[in-house]
Amino acid sequence: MSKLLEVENLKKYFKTPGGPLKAVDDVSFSIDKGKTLGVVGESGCGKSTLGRAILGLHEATEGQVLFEGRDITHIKKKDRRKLTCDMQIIFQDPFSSLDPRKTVWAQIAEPLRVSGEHMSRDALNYRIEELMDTVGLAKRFTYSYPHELDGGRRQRIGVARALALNPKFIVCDEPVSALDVSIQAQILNLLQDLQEEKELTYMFITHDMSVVRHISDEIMVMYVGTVVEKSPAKELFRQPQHPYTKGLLSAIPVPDIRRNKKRVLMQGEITSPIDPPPGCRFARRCPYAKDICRKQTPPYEETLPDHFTACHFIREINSL
Amino acid sequence: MSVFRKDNGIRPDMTLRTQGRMADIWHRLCENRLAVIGMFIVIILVLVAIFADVLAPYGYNEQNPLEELQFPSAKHWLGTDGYGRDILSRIIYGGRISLLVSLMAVAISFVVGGLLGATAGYFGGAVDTIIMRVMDMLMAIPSTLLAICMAAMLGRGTWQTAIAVAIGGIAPSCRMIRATALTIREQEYVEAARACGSKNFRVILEHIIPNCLAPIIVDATLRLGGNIMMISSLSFIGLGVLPPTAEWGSMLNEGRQYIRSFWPLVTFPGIAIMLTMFGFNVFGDGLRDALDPKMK
Repeated sequence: MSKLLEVENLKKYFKTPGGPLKAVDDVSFSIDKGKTLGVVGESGCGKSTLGRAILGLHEATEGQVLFEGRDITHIKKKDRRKLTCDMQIIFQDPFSSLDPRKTVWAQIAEPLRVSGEHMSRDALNYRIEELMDTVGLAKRFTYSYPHELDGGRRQRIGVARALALNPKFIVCDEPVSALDVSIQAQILNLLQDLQEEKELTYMFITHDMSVVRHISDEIMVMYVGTVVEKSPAKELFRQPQHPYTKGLLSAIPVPDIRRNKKRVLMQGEITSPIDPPPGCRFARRCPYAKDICRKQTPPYEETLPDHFTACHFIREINSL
Repeated sequence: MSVFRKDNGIRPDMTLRTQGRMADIWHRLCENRLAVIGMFIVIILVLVAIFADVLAPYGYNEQNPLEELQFPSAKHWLGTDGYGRDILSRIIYGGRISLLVSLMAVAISFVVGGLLGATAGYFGGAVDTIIMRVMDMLMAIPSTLLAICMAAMLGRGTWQTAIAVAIGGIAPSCRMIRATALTIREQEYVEAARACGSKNFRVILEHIIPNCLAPIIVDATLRLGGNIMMISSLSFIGLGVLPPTAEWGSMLNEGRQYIRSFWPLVTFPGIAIMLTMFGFNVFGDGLRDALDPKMK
């Protein structure tokens, strides 16, 4: 299958007074056309930064992003603007990602207007109507302001904005985490329907394990700027290998009071991404950590078919 | 009988428009009695300025040597000045000039200061530093002094006065808009605009400035009053608009020589300036409280 997006050794460091903040540190992966890669991890682990670095909203410090085989890491502003037609983003918070002073019409019109292609007023109206229909927004909201709409409808505007330019790839940056559970399902189904219909490729960033299970083909688990595990979605839930992933999965609540599930509890503090110590980022909390973990960065390798992990003792832990 | 109506009145073809925000602001403004008084003064002033030709009983430069320095009477409600011109008419026409020049000055200082401030706030870094240090230099000079220097340099006249007054207003409006732009820049919708390909200039014009509007309106209202004061001051010391154009400050100046023997010529323009200042200030304050109830 053809790869739509490839990311190679991508790094994004921010300058802080305390040293470089390694938000994304040496991340490599690829996404096949028409598939969904779920990116999970706790708050501040660099998932959003990764998404933004891919889109060029943050300039990458090092590494490469290839889109349809073309290096787009440091392209010119003009080319970048053309590329925005192919790559879009849906934001997390539909309350802050919409300009409070613009009507729904103007919100959806914005990407169409700035795309460079001149559209007549009628064409614009027609396209906006079409987009509102696609995302399931009733026509009567055309001239409403965001504060008059509920979260689900607002997020539909966000989806319509992202779809406006017929992109091939969409970064969904926690698109449902600010919504009620019932509306979450609506938006997720909408995204899945759109994917089927338009052959979209998603990078789905979330911290909600049940959401990611529902939507992803592959899942990548991040911890403090690094990828610790990546595998097909079902496989990850069936047999997680990395100690962090195990902990993460055991934290999913199970609606069964009789089931006495053993929880893997994490001890200790999260490693600070500002000037982190050498070795594995998870070493300070890992129950299996040994000396080598605090000195050497673990290799990121394929331990099972299509199943990648970064851990020195992955074979010992999982008795492979 | 059921107390619930089945039909909630919303038809699918209806466009939902709530009047929430504006109605709220209006309601809060009306609760503030002083602000309402200020608003009335401002409205009356604006109406008088617009309909000066209809309202004024005489022309602003209609001289009548036979009726010099007359005290208020039925013929001349507020008396006449040293050339026999009707003081009421001159105050009415003077209000028009004051308001017009003040508006021009506010517009100039907000267009220049606003664009600079929004640019500085949006880009940050070196651009911000350069713009703001220049503004600091402007701020270091007292605004009255700056206006006098500019007026002396540019000469007398309507535009010249407006520019002279505007220069002093650029730095404060720039600072204010920069501060607002700094918070708006961090909003996700600015990033969303950039993500869909908007150029920086477009983001500033379409998103940053419209969202700065509330503080701009408040500041502009307060500044309108202050500018009228400044214009009068300039005219009083012989800069500002050209005679025989009626202007409150220049009327005061003319009245100065008769201050002991003939009080109407200094009193009435003085009252006009005072009332105007009062009106704009309390209205502006009220507007600020109404727009931002958290600020109180």
